[in-house]
Amino acid sequence: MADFEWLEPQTIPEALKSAGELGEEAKLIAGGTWLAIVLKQGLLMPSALISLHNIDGLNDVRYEPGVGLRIGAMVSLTAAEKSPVIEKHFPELAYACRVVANVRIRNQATVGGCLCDADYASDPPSMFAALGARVVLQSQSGSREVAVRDFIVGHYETTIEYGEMLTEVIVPERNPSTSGVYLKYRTRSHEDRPCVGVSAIADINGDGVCQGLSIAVGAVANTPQLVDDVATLAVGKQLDAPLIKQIADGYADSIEPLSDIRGSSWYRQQMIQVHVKRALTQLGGVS
Amino acid sequence: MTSTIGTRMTMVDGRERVTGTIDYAINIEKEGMLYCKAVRSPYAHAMITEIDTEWAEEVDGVVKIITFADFKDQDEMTPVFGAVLKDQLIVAEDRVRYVGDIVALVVAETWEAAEEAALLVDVDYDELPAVFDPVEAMADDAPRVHDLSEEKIGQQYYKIRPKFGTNACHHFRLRKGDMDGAWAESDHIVERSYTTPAAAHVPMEPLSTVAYFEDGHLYVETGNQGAFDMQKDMARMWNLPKDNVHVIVPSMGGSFGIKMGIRTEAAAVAAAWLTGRPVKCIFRYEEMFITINRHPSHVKVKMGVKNDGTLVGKQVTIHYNTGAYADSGPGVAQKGGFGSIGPYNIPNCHVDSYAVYTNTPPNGAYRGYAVTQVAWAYENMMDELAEVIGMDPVEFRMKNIIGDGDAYATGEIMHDSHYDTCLKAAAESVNWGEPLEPHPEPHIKRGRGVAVILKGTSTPTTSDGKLEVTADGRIIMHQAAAEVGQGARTVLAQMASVALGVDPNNIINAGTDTTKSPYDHRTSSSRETYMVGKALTGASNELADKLKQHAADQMEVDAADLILQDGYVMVQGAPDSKKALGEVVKDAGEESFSGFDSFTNEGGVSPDDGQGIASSHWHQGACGIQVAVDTETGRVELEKFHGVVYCGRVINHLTSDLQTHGSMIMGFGTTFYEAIELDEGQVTNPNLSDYMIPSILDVPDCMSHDLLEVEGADVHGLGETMVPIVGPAVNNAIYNAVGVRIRDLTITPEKVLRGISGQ
Ligand SMILES: Cc1cc2nc3c(=O)[nH]c(=O)nc-3n(C[C@H](O)[C@H](O)[C@H](O)COP(=O)(O)OP(=O)(O)OC[C@H]3O[C@@H](n4cnc5c(N)ncnc54)[C@H](O)[C@@H]3O)c2cc1C
Repeated sequence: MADFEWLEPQTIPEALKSAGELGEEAKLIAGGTWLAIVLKQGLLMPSALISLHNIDGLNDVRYEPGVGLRIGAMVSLTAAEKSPVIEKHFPELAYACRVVANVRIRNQATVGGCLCDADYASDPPSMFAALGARVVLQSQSGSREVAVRDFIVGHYETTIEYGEMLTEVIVPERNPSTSGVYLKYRTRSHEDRPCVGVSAIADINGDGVCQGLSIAVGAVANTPQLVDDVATLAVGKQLDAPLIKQIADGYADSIEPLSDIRGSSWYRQQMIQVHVKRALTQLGGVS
Repeated sequence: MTSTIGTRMTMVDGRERVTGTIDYAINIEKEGMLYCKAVRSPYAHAMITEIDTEWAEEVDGVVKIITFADFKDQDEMTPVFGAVLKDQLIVAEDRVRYVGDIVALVVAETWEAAEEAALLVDVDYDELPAVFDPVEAMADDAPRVHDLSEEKIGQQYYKIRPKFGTNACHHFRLRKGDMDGAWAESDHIVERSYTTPAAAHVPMEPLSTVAYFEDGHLYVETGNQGAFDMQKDMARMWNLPKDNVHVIVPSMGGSFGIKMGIRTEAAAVAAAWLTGRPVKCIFRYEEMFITINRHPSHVKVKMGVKNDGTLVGKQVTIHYNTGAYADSGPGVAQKGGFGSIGPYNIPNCHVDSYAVYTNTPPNGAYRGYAVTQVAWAYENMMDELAEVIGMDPVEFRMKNIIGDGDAYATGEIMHDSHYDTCLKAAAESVNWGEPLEPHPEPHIKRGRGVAVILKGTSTPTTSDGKLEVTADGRIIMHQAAAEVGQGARTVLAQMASVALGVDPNNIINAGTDTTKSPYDHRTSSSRETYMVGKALTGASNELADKLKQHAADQMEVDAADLILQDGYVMVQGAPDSKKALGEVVKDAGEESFSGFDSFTNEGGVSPDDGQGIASSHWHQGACGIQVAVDTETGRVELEKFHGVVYCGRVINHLTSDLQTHGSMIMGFGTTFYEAIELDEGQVTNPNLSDYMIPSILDVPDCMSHDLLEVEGADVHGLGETMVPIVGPAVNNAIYNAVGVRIRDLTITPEKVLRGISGQ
């Protein structure tokens, strides 16, 4: 590992100042679970690391009526998984954090880090994308919000700019008739990253009619995959077995999965079909 | 103190182990010590055209950069080594043979400086054609990894049979009966091929050695399973009398075979020799994946059987990929060669087993040595054959299973055989023969399978043991079994304690130093409890007799009336007469008394026909599995996972249970997850994120086992028995559930689903 300077800003403006001044020379470091590996492998050699640990206000989780859930960038995955606020409003999000790696990683990894590293083989990002979450990016010159589905643009690639920092994630408020599910499918150990991760959110009214459906499939391509024209097939209809099959097939057909050590493209295609089907069946599908 | 044999005594070093107070090799520090880091080849096969060390030398703290030039034109030492064939150099001369081959060593004042400089050593290569598959490597036109010559081999290597003109560094043959006759007699002849991948050992502790020279003596402090092999090698390489080579082996943080043979040792000693200072050489975690793995294999089996299920003939052709260096490949080819017949009576057998060089990282000893590969083949094959003749797989095995008085394929007459009992217990564990209740979810299918194993222990070998009582009352055990975490020190202290009637916790282990310790062949093939245990038992009997004789004289009683208990000698039934053991030594005017014994198991097989005594006794076991296969995903869950291990006698139920759990979990991991992935010879998953081992959450709750004991039987090793048979038992159960037979380990959900969907 090459030498680097270690900075510990105490406030967001201080951190933004350092990040703005150092630009490409510096990397922000949150839990370090991703960064430490790439530093060790010599894939990145920043001359400075800006630690976000001592900054107040990045660790909050709160629900703001009219807006939704606000999760600070430095909230650890353990804290997210155990947060009563998240559990109350978005239990499927708490679950998607709970199934990441193992307790050692979750204690260290952060919500901001898991979105910014943009590793395709991840769990929470597809859930954030399915929930229509937005990230708040701040820099010395101001602040902007970007939908998670537009934020992650490739493997290890986001639209964040040098000098910008992710400060929080906002999960928008939703109808009380909405519920969600996350299915993590692993082909190896329980501690493995997903082969396929399906995040499905459905708004189903009292008559069993679907008013909205959002499905994001993670770990199968460079970015979480949302196939809107297939998901919207459900709107105004009951989620019965033929419709579920149609949507599951539609997702499998629309996505061109990658191959890796956890499964080939062919296999992932099958697993998308199976797990979209299972997710929708769990979401109150009528059989 | 009554004997602790057969109890659940906790490990004598358990507390130290879990509180992190054991001084592992990697923690050793010496005054003025330097650090050594390897520079490795990025090419699978290439000629080195130039090594430029200038930049690297400029790094602060760099003391020396070692290249082959440092070993040229000198006759003080020989820089070549190898467990069987001396085919590996400390650093490459002009040619690299795999991605990871060592081309230079950086020696520096700090580890960080060594790491940094290692990145700056600039090496130019000319790539050569390479070969990665052991079967392809046998082709006439395959690139040759080494040029073995007749003269060299013929003289140096007794019992090694390279196939000159190919990459095979050893060809083991087994010949029994008449194959033409066998095929003619058979009602069915079935041929199948099976493969297994390379697997990593994944001990917690990486590889590390500290070496230094002092007054013409060489000290090598290292985590290694073969102290005396190391002593011999180092004495040969550095031209030293054996008595001047101190191989000192601390407790290890796991090994599973990776710490067998020369790993970091030669580099550390070379660096110490060239710098005149103590040197620590470390191969870090990711380097272990390119240092030594388990042999990948291709096993081709042809079997002839009669309609009534009688086995008539078996022909096996095995290609073990030994990688760029032979390491223990020839031994693997031999043990897998005679092991490939399995625990069955087959009158006609013909085995050709090859260890083949390729341009992949070398492969060597691995828990389940050579047998994981062939048991995968033979226990799958038994189910395949049973289906062909329409017989129940357990009944088919029972009909042919080998027993006492039968001659094995090697000609040796079997004794102490319990394969039938093991198989029966495994079958019962999954309610074999009773109807299987369907899974409540219709897309999940259940199935059952079994597998049986026969595995040899190294023969012939020798182990010595010495037990000592000092005048100040210490009881010291001298022996050289390596403690890798398996509990050797515990069970050996238990065995040594019996005749003296002392608490095993009060026995001091002298530690291993090859200039002082009694000889031991090596810690391999689950042999130490049996071999060293036997020597120490003899030693302690001798010592007890000696103590009684002297005490009898001193106390003026008859030695036959004396007993040893709790550290005292006393007249039976008269505890007031007791005298401390140290006092007996003192009153005899001695500093210490000791007993010594040596034990050799006799035998050996010929490499040309495989006849002889392959194993002085055999490790035996069976596995029963019930699976639930998700037919939509191909994912397999174990609903029953039962091991049966023949132990002869259990010395310690706690450590035996732990060893069996460990070998079952390792069997589980290497069945489902663990495979070294290679791309043009390069390991693409050299870390624990990409190379997955089971976590505690993966271990099936249903896992259970029996340890089979027989009154008066010999102690049998049990550390490896279960590893090889988990795979075939699982595979047989999957076949039973969904009719899919995978013939290439590992068993992944994808392969199962491809089978189900006919892809
Ligand atoms: C062994 C292992 C197993 C894993 N298994 C899983 C799994 O099963 N599922 C899964 O989803 N993930 C898994 N992961 C990935 C893990 O979730 C991520 O590594 C983690 O979420 C990253 O968060 P971090 O806080 O540690 O990020 P860091 O490593 O600190 O940073 C990651 C990247 O994000 C940038 N960054 C971090 N925070 C900010 C911020 N606030 N603003 C701007 N940039 C920022 C950093 O500069 C860096 O580029 C695993 C990781 C490991 C090591």
